[in-house]
Amino acid sequence: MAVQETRLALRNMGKIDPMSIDDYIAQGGYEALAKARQMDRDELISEVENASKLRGRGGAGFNTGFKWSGAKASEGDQKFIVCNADEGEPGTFKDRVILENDPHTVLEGMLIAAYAVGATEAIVYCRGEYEHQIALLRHAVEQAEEHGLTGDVHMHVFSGAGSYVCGEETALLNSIEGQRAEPRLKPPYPTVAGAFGKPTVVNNVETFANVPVIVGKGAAWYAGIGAAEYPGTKVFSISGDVKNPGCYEVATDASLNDVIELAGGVTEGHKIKAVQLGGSSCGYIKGSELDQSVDFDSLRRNGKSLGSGAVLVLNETHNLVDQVQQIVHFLGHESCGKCTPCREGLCQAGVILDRFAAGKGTQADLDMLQALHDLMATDCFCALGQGALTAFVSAYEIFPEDFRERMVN
Amino acid sequence: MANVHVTIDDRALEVPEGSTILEAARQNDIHIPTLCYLKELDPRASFRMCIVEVEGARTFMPSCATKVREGMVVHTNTDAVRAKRKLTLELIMAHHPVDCHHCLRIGNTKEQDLDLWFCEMCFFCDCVRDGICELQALNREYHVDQLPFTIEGDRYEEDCSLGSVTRNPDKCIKCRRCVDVCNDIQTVHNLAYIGRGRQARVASALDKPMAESPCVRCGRCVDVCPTGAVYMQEHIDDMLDDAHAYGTHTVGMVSSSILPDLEKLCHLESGSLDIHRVIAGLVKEGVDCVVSEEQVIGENQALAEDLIEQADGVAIISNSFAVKNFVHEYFADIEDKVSFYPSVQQTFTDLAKRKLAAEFGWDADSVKTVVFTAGNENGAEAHELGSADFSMNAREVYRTFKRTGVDLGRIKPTDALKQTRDVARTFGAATAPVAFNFEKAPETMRIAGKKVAIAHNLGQCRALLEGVKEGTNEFDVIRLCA
Repeated sequence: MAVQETRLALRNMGKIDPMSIDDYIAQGGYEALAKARQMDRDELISEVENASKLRGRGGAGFNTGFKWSGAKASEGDQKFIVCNADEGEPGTFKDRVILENDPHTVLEGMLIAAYAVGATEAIVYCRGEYEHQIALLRHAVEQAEEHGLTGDVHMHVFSGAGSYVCGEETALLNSIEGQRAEPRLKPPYPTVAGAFGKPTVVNNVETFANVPVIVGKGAAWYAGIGAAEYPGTKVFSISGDVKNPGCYEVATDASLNDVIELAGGVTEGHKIKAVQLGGSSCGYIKGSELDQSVDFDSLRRNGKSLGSGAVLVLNETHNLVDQVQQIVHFLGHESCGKCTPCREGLCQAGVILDRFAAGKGTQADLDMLQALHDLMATDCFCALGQGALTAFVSAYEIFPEDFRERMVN
Repeated sequence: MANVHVTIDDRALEVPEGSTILEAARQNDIHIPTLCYLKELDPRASFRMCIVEVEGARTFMPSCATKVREGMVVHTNTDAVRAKRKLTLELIMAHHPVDCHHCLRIGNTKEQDLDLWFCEMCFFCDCVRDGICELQALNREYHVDQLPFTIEGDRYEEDCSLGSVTRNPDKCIKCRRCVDVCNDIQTVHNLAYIGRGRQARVASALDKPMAESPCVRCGRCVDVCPTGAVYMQEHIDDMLDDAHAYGTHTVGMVSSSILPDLEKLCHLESGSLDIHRVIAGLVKEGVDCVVSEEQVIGENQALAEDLIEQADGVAIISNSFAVKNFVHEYFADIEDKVSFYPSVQQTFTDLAKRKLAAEFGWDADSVKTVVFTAGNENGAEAHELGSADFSMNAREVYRTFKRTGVDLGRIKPTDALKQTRDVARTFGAATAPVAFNFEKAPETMRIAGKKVAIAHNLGQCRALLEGVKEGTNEFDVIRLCA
């Protein structure tokens, strides 16, 4: 029997009505918050930081408790907890599934974080296209307030306006402030000066969804699940050429093959050519190399990245040039236009890839794409530009024949 | 403050803690090219020209925004860094007007070929910034020539709607100095960066033409633009036409504010250029008579002096065209509290058309007045109010000199026409010409028992006017300049 799902972030999926706080409470909801509020704040943070080793599920894999302790230690008359629900990565829809099934677990996680760092403001920054989820969240906030669960924390739900780069935390903070959505210079980091210059913790939806479980069942229990250095579960968004695309939550010591198995495997009569794991700024993994653990660190050791947990399965009928072309045009459209290498580099890379798509690529074009990647990886202001041509480099490394097929003879 | 030890380009240096890599390098004569950086503004670190290699860092770091740390090892000029700076420039040039490419292809990378006299022989592009363009200089430094990209140089319309401050978005490199000056320093809040990706560009408020925007025509965006993307309309040909035409008498006024720029353009030592040599040059190229600003200022200051004396309560005075627009736009409710008096340019024109014309026996209508000044608002005022026929900056003066064979290094000084009127000036320090700065706080002084504040930019004007509005003002005399 293949690996089964381990549902922590999605533990209430299908069991409760997302509109009903009573359903959530009946499943043990908000007990963790009550428990946390009985704890010493430093002890609570230490539980999350050292015992549970919870790491950010948005893509960077940064220790969550470490962020909290940073924000707690920062001076500030007001502190912010921000939930990054600006899920814009193509092929990623795990936050959406969490929010539309169980908005209260995210709010509970945020309230625990707010108590831990001493924040009085909590903001969910939700992707603008998620209208239904925003409505659910607003309703959930109202209910939590009515039940007197929010205490002295003001909760807000903030709608994004359709900018991918707002997934970058400092661009997100700019957007909350009503500024242009583009990344800020770091340092100062958000935990020192974030929203409105106040100490701020920014965590992903899935990260917050895990917090009530950790506090409720204990950090030691949580640390026993999955990989040692990246414990717990990861929600994967599986799309592409599989039988049952969707969200699947597995312990982090599962293999990529297991995850794809859960989605029913590749569609009938085909085989897997490649999998793009992590989102559009991440590399491809060959169909023959899927037997590797999906935890953050072992992927990184293999030169891959877990990213947001998007799994795009491609069968043998695809030419990766088309994939890369789409990605570069998408990122070119979403580039904020602040730094030169990203703004102009993606534009020129798009022109070159259009030539490949039309079967008119040249060796000089390939060299230029590589040169643009080298430039952007080191010179771009934020991760959007730095990783924008990673997909190209990886695709060309693994499937050079796809590119040769589209070159002039 | 304590010092930290850093190694930049294999040189062990001791620099103040808290300084940036760029500051540390510049203090020690290590050249790092920059484009968006302007030391008075907060770093944006957006152009990525000043990137350097810091050992141990995952990416290259923008030297303008990266603070030095103890033991840091920095390389500013490796092959990789240079190659990437060049590629960045090439990417920018792929979206830059073709005229500029042509210029770059001249091929000779000798420093002297950047000199304006070269442009004066070429005439191909007629870009206002040719020869003093920061992008052009960097392209030379990095040998940018044949571009490996598809070139799309012209995408936007030029916005000439104001007739003075003009914007050419195609030449914009998105450094956003103009945006920052307009918003952070001048608080006019007109220019903004809109759109994203390659559609990103600088626009005036609500993306309307400049003439329909809240632009107050202070022209500070022009001063900071590194390329020809924001510039003042030029009048070189018109002025020379008038100077040489029969039946037209041109009268000029020279402000000493153009001297520093002229020195740079003429490769003269800083502080060595005497205004009387400039006057001699202008006379030689056909301007019929020339006065210096110092000789007109007395008349103008007398007007200000009267206003201060007559003031009931706080005296808020200004002779700035841009301040007038600014007050009208943002402080309409206290507009009547501000006493506006004619600009020096207006005073000069009145003097020329009445007094000088009568003295020389000219018909007042045949007199054309030209003001030579670094102040961009003068150009806008001349265009909109007709307070002079033209206003020209140092570069325009330089080019007319080149065209007419004037060599400032060799010409003998000439005295300006004497127009001095000695007026008893108590508040001379408060009514004299004021130079723009980037400071947040206005200059304050005490004259004859009165507290005086002088605003050197519109941001300071805003703070002072808000004080007046809210009743927290503590000054007796306020002079507003843009």
